[in-house]
Amino acid sequence: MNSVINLFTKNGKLLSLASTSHLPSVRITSTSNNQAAAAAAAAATSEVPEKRIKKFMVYRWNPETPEVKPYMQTYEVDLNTCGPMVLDALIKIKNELDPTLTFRRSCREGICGSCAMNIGGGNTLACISRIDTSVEKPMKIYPLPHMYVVKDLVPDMNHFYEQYRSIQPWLQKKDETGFGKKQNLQSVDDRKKLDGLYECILCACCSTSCPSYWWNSDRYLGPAVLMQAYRWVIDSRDESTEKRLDQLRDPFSLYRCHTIMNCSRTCPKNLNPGRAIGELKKLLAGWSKKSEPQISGQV
Amino acid sequence: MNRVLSQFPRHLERFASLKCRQLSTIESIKSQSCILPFLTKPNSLVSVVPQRFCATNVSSHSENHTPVWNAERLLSAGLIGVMPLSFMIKSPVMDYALALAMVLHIHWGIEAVVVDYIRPRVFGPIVPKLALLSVYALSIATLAGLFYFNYTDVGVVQGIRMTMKM
Repeated sequence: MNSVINLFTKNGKLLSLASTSHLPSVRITSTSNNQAAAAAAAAATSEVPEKRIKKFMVYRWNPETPEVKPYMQTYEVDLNTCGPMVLDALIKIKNELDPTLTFRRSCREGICGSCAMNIGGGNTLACISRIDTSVEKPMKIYPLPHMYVVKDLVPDMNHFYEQYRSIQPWLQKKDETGFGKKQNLQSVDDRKKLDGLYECILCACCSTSCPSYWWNSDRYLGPAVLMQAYRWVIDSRDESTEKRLDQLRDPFSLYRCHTIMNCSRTCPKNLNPGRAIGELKKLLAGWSKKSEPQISGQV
Repeated sequence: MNRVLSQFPRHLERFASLKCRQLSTIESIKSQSCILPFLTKPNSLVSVVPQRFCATNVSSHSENHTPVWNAERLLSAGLIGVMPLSFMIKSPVMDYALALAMVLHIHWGIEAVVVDYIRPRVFGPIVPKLALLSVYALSIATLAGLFYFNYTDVGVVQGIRMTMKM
């Protein structure tokens, strides 16, 4: 089992990490003209740096052996030969230690939301959370809490997506003649109201950190979906505002939010679903009103 | 489809073949499950939603919770005034106001806890209703008890004063 990972470091050096199953060896090739860097690289090849073995405890469950209860498996990774992020470690484990480890990942830069998982007790994206470099403490990695597990770190997201679908996350106009053929006008200020809402990548970190969502996810929509509901409610171009709000008036869809604010605390994109839910409650209560669009019409 | 499914563990196929009859409680899904074409296809991966998620007994969705939420917020804000005022102004009116406000505030709080935790999904259809009923019974008994105390004895405020002096 051999694998070679090529990494370009900041100053343009090509770092080739080659490892066998038992004896990892590091080869650093310098392509920069900087003499000092070349000397440092040469020094690195001559003396093997001290290993920094970090333990990763990962939740394992295989649906094909349902009689085996879920368990924590410990992997040891040398941080010197591993990228800085938790996802790098997981990929390294999958490549070199255990190809059966299963997790979702795609963009590795915090824009797709695939690698949402519970790392060190908090929900976040593995690709943008750094490995805690203190090697004494093991890093614990679980799937998103209170979700049905498909395998290992892969949760079943279907219900979450169904809830998202239920708020009808698309632009709705009362008159839809010629819809989609022309541009809908929106002023710069009206567009600004969507900032902090449209960036949501639906990774479900917030919803699965919410105790209310844990207990009542069958009826409560959860912070991620509610923030998107708010995003469409206050969109100046959308004309289904009343219908959208009425959908949330029952005791469960929205009002199971008890402002615990775990959602805003955990959001890996630093958004604020808690605030969006508060604004929805104010709109429903009639304490605030959606302002008239500054510009409307089509071109 | 077979190719897709073959990538997934066998037991999921079992899940996948389960058609979710009552998909979700969310109104729009309930009313227009036809907007989810691939959900109705058996063997579609999307229907992997375990049946446990498909809640069968839900509170009626026609119920409008907004007035209750408004009242809760207003009462919470009002308590900030009522509590000190009832100790400053000696009057039976303040006794009754304090008793009513406190009991209502506590009732809504406990009710939320019971609704959140004693869920049909875990306890079945009967226990949650009984639990909710007992919360109402307890609140009404408390209110009646405090009103009786106001009417026949020294009143809530004076009662608290005397307890604190002990």
